[in-house]
Amino acid sequence: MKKSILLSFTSIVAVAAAGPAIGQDLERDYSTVTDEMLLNPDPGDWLQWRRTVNNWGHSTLDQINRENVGELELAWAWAMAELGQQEVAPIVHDGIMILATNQNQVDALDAATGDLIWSYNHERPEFEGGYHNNQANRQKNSVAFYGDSVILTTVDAKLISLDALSGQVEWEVQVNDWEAGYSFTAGPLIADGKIFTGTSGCSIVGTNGACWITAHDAETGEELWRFNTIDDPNNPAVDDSWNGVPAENRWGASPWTTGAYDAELGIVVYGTGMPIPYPEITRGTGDGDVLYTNSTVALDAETGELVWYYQHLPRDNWDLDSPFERIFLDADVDGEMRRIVLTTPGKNGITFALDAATGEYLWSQETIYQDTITSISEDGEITINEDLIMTDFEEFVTHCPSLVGGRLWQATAYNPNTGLYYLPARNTCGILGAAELGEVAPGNAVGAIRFGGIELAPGAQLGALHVLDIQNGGAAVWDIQSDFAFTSSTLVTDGGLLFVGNSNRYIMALNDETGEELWSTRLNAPIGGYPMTYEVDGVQYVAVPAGQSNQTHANLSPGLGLPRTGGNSVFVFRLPQ
Amino acid sequence: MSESSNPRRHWLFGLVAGAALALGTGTASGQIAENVLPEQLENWRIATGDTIRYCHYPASPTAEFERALGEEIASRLLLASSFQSLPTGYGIDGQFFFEDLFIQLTNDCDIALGLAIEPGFFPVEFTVLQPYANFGYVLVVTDPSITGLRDIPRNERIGTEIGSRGETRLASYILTLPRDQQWQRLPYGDPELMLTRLLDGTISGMVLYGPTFARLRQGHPDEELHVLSLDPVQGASINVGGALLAERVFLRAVVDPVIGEMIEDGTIMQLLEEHGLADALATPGAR
Repeated sequence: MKKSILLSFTSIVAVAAAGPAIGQDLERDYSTVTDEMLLNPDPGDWLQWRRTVNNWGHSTLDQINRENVGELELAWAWAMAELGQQEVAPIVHDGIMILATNQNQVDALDAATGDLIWSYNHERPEFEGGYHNNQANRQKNSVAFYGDSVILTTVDAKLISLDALSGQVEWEVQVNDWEAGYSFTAGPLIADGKIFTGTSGCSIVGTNGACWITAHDAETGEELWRFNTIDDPNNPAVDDSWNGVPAENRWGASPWTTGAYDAELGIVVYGTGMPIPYPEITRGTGDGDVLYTNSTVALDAETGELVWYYQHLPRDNWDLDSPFERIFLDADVDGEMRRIVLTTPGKNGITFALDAATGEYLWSQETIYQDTITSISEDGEITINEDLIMTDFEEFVTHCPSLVGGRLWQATAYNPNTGLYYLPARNTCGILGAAELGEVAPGNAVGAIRFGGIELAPGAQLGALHVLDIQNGGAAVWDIQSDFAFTSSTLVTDGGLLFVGNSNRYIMALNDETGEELWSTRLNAPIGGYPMTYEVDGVQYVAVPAGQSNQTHANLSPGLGLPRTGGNSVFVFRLPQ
Repeated sequence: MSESSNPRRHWLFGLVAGAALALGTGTASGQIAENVLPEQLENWRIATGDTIRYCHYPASPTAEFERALGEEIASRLLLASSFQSLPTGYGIDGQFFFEDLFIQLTNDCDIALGLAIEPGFFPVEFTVLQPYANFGYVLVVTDPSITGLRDIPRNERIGTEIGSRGETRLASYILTLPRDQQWQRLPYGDPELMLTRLLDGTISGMVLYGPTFARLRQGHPDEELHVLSLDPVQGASINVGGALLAERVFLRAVVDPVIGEMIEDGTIMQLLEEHGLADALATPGAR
């Protein structure tokens, strides 16, 4: 259903006076985003983080393809003024691009021309805490379309609905207590009339005992259910795994990446992060696996009840966080097509396939250099490298990857036509010590882990792009090793192209089957965020965020020079008209 | 405040200290500096040659002591002093802490007070002053029959402040014991919650920072709390001092002797007593 919206002069005054959105007069056709559209978006749209609720990061557009990508030219660019990490995920619907950036500022732009339609400035508390101030500078894929609205998650743990054409606040919900430490850094998943969120900040002392996945009515924001990732009275295995440490003395398992939804199974899946503190001798859990840290949890989308879980890294001692994107797809498993959850869940870069209905372990594949897991049995039982567990507070260990990965938030992509899966990562090792001198500011609840530095993994280059054949048990197809880190997420299209960017400011289009570089151009800053593609009036565009990133690791890239300013911007390319 | 026996010496130190404050700084190269956004750093320095700018934690249990200490240091150098707040609210893993400290010491402060001072703890971007005090960790119980750690039955639990020196020292000691002789340790981020659990019997003892307990006790004057030493746990104390950017060696060179003098002439002890910290197992200087 399309509707035409004309904002009158009166309503513009009302808009200007009502709050922090700045709008302008326009007449624009806009179609309500429905649940059906979320499951099967128009090829020209990119409605949420990875375009579709199964998190593929794949576009069916092919106007830009292997034959002509070398002709790409800049259509327009936009500066996102707020300083901070560049982790933006542009979304597009009906020719409107929404950019949610740091400090939860949101800009709506004409996706064809780059004209500003409206801006929203989030009003938030003054943070006294360093954690929130820093996380405000690294907001990720914070928005998604639904109905006639744009749904925003914020650093002060709010869920906000903005009118898609004016940016006016329609409603807002305080989901968690930000003063306790809770926050959002990742954006919402919207499906089946619900908004799902994953919480950040579960390393702050005030968040003891609970970290949350929540579901809300997509029209009103009313909370429908919530699931606690570190305490589950319905599952005795959870308490057992913490070796007698009560829930109020637990921290971690933060689900700080947007989840995925499967309509047939009626489930959402989220990944969870590491336990806090990292070393078990500090957290007092002994050899306990500490559920549901570093796990995939599958929840009934209606009720939030746990359907299944699988722990990818039990008994984590190294901050090898496993919250990263889960992907639903159909894959050939031993000659049988099955719906699976595919994920490279954690920093150690091991890719897993799990049965989507049951969580049954199917297979796994290592990618980057890692030494924290020594083996995975045929039924998915993980054996960690106990030689790397600190047993004394004077002890330092070197483990691979370091706590910066491996892989991090830069997202993978899956092409259903080729069965190929793309993982940007790094080859590093790190030195970590249990916090003998952990109380850096005594009496102020400011902890610290002793880091001994980050170095390259033995015999490796820093940047690594791995490509696996998911229809063939995750077999390695090809990889690219580079002196420069891959600092952006990946985008794969039916034009036969893979887009990815690096710390040396190059955005590249590769042949998605061979890895041959077909086009590249150099921008103002390290490529960041989530490159994406869309179509307006028959013209395909590719949008590329660029800006400061903590994943450049300049000290491991000889000769890499970084700009003096962060340079947060988005660049939009198209073929010559 | 003590009088100097050598006014001329302090006049010279004042001149030198002022010059030290006025010197421009570059930035040291390291992982912390690399993580900081360039726009967050001010590329100029305001000439504050007559003032030591301190950063500290106003909510810290030693905040007033450190304010008085900082003022006295500045006074002995014939300088003024100003104080700004350091942010708290970091994760237990300390994420962002050193980056923010680097930004504050670049933009806003000359010296950050109230930090743990131990060799090799700070990244290369920082240097430290000599510790001005050492504070101990105490064991607190409600049962008067418990006169020491060993009196706590091994099947009972002990609470600790998460990430604290007291916690790691106790945990290290526990690891030396036979498995059936080990207490279970429960980490707490909130001293009030830990006290609640001590009072309801969930834990039989709690280990916390001496100054933190001194403040906690003020809020619970009627509770029967017994403060014990952590013996036989060794090293359950922490040296506290100030941190600066690594290139401020000149400033460190003029401030360190003043701290040393204040330890020697009893000023630090006097300030500890005046601020109710003498009972918090506090001693001037390093241990």
